[in-house]
Amino acid sequence: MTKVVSLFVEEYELARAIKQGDQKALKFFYEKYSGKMLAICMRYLSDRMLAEDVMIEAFMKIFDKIGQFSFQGSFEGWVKRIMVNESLMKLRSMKMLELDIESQNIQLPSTSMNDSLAEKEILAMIMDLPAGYRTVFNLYAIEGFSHAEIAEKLGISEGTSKSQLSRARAILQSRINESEKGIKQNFD
Amino acid sequence: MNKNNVDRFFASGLSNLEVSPSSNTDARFNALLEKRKSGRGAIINFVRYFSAAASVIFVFGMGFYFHQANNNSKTLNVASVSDNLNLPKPLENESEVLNSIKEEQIIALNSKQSFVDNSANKKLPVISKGNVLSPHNDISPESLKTESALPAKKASGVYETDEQIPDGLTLALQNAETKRNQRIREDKEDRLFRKDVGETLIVISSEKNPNEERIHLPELNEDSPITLTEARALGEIKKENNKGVLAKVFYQIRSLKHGEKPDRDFSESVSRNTLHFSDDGFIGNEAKEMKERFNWIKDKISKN
Repeated sequence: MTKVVSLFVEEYELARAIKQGDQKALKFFYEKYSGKMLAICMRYLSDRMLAEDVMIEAFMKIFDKIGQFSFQGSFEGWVKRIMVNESLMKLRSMKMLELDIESQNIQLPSTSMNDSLAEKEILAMIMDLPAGYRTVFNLYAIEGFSHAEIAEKLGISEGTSKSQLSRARAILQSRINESEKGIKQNFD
Repeated sequence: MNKNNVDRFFASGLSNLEVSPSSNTDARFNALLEKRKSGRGAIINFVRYFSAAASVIFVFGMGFYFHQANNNSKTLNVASVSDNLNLPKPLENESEVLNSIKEEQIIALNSKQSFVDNSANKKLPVISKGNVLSPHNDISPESLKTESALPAKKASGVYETDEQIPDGLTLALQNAETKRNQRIREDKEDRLFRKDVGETLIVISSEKNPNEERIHLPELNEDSPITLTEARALGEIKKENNKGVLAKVFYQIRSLKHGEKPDRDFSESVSRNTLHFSDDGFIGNEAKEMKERFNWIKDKISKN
């Protein structure tokens, strides 16, 4: 508990420095968080260039809205939320959030996951998903939102959110299986 | 929330994922940061300059305002004085000025002459305005004794002479002096009531005999004939005396009911009053009955 508080204290000091417009703090903040934030943006947008644009815009927005941070909770969590929201807004502006509401009963395989897959391969699998699937999967599986929250955020029904998640899971599962087969073939 | 294996796999695999932005992105970010800094600096500079300019304008504005206010007050003072003084109108040209000077000199001479000649009942050499000499003429007393210089005589036999009119400033000063004297006189007259007595008067009057009305100034000084307490006591006595017989009777009855003894003076006065009435008349009969009732009540109370 003490460690968490001390971590937040460090974050808050950085946030205060950003609030005061300290140029060094702004650069330090970018250097510290740009890698993580770009990964988040790429998970949602599937295009690196687009993700970089959104990330820079989000950073500028953070600098402008730093006064709204209440210094309660994690500063990094607050920054992540802004990144996610900016990515979603970008998707909406590009009309990439037209979700396929056709429901399918997909039987998920109960095989164990292969831990040998590199992080970038995992990211590539998500980025290959259609926008609707990808968005719902990111929000539900990685960010931890509920279907109700996702439905409210994206302006869809909870049923749609669930169906999108199921399809995303099925596709990802098949991709993992294919990847395992390829690895096995290489070893054989 | 039930997370299946796929969810857990991707969540754990991407939790610490970092993707380094390209150098181009870093450059864009730095450029935006510089732009933001200059914009912020410009705003700060603008605010600084604006506040400095506003301060200067405020100081000048206040100075101008107070300067104008002082000027206005001076103008107002001059205007009010000039309105009250009734100053003579300025003359339009030099000849008029000289004429007026001559006229004043002639009037002065006339007044001297008239003072001398009035005792001898002679004609006074007074010059009317129409006969004012030209500026270059001599105004010696001999020249004024000419026929044309004689004053006009009215039908009533009074010579019309011009008096020296005091100027506006003199009039204003005289007026102010008169008012001041009057105010001092009034203050002296009212001093007794306003300062020493506090405007307190005691009037003791009688409804039956208005001629008995007396006015007292209480506690004026050591020689004062009456104090406020004494005056109040006097007023109470008068009030008691002015009460009717019936009121007194009811007052005594009320006193008796409360166990007090009847007032001896009152019974004597009642008996004295009843003596004035004869028993034959209506009033005498009523008084007699009332006396009997009173005695009956008195007996009852004394027995109890």
